Amino acid sequence: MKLFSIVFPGLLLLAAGCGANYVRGDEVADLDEMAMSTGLDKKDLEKLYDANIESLMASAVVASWKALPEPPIVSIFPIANETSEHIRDSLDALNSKMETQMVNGGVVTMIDHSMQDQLIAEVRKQQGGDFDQSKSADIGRQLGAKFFITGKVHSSAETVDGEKRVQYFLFMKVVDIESGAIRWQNEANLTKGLIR
Amino acid sequence: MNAARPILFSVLLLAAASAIGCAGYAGQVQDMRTALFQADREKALKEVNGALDLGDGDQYPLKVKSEDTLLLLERASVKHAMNDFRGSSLDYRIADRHLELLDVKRDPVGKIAEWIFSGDAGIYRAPSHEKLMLSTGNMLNYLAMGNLESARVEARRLDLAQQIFADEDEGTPALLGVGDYLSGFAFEMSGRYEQALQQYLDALKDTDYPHLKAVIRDIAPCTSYRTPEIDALLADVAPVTGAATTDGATTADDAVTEPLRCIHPDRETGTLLVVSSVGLAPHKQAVRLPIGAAIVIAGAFLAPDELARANDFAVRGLLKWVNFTELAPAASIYGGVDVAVDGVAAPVELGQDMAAVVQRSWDDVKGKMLAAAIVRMIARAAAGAGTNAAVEAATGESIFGLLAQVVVEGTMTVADTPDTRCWNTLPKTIYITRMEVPAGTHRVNVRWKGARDGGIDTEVNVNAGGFVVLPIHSMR
Repeated sequence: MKLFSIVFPGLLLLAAGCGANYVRGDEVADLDEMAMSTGLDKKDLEKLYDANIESLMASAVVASWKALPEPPIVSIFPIANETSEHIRDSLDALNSKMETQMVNGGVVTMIDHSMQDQLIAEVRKQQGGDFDQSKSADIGRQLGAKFFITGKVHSSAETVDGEKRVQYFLFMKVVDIESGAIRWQNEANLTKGLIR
Repeated sequence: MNAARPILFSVLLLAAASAIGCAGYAGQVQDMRTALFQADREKALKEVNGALDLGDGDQYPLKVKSEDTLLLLERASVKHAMNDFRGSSLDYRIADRHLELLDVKRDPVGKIAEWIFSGDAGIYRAPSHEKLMLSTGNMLNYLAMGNLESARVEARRLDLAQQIFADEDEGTPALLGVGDYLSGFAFEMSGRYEQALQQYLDALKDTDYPHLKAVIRDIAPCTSYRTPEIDALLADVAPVTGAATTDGATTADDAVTEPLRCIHPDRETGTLLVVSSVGLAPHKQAVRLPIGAAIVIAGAFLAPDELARANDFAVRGLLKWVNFTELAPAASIYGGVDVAVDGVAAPVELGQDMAAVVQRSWDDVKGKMLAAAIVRMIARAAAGAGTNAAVEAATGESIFGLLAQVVVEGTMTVADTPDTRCWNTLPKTIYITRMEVPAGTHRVNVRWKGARDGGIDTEVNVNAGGFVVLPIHSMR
């Protein structure tokens, strides 16, 4: 009875909750390792980037570029998002990573983004708000590019009993603007999930 | 008396703790609702930010608690109505990540009884229509911003949610006509006609859209995709109506002759889609149901021993009423909407009767939820009767026992605040107006029916081959 008279009222006390805090990446070990959503984070981008850049740099088309007296002019276009996840920013970051690698490696001469974005915006306007990838060749040609790099990512998402799995399939390609031929293509896959 | 003292002390402490009282979610958002009905959206935004414990509409809770998910949905609706489509879309996306879904059909009554009453520990579980409207609302945000890629992402999310709900409900389709309509529109404007047709057909399964049938007929030649429904529509439907010409002489009944984009990319018209709404959908309010009435409604969902116990407690006067929720009627001061483009009346069709959707969704789960509430109340009544017996035995006085029983029951009943959580700012009725208009600037006039001077006048600029989506919501 005595215990009851002490414990029971105590149970009615509200426990002080632990609040959430902001942290820096170097303050918490493995902060970048944790998956916090079914979207694409830095670790996912690095995985997708590594899979694609490795394949591209080892491809015949890049070998032919390296053999040219001058690096070819290349456009890189937004990767189309055909998934059920809002990953536009992540896809743009992936594109930027590839562009940085190729420019700094002296492999290509990349078209300035401001000129390219202006033309893309014009195409979007004409097409009522969407960028049709089939126009990439026309735009690239207008910019003086010989090749363009583009891609598309699809997903397969499933949910069962509150658990979710999203499988991403990223396809990237290099297209010869003059001939329309695909000179390189690669598929990279990734799975994210929410498990309980 | 010594033995009774700790029992009475604990009972009184419980009473004190519960005396703080809790108005529930309905009380939390009442000021927001009032502000909306006073057409003061800034105040409504301020109220919902206050409920989120935030000073700014662009801030987010550091840790999204259960009610915060729902409050973010409310804020998303208010921002959307204020044309802050980007802010609204961010709120929707964060809410979507934290939304738990209601699964009354598979949960046993006992499990439902654990979470049926609100409290800090109770996770909000959203009914399917709220999940579907989340994707629909966000799709509308992206369409209003002209962002077709993100609109298609939401269309896929909507489709995914519908598949999940259908699978959980033994194949019964989870339809939301207005969501499928907007999905179809997003795919159509993206030039993906097969997917557009699939979505439009799904929309027609839920709601009759006379003008949509004409749209289907017009875009069907853009793809080889065919179904018996499309074949029937192609054989049956009248041409698209509602085209305005540059001199404004056309009436709403004249047929458009401008060829569609898929056949003639150089067409000189664009598509205008006005999505308007009036009022607010039904919301939950706390009620006390007499036990007799409650047993009649929920008896079929109670196990035989639970039913027997409920009846026994009712007869003995130990269980008199049940704390529960009911839907307050949908509220609107307007009876509908009239739309005019360049001074010419435009066709308005029903997009979705959200009041009916919310009511149907509640009616589907009400019986089982009420059964769970009765189970919970039986436990309370048993605890009260047990306390009575214990105190009476300890004190030798029946009056103390009775007093303790009343306090325990009353306190625990107060603590069992019915869960009035639901998305309060869903619209009551949604309307759709779709027109092909010449490229250029157009005056759009939306008037609320029944109002002396309520309405919106605005101008839109439609590009050749392009589109403009104009959301306009009265929220009262």
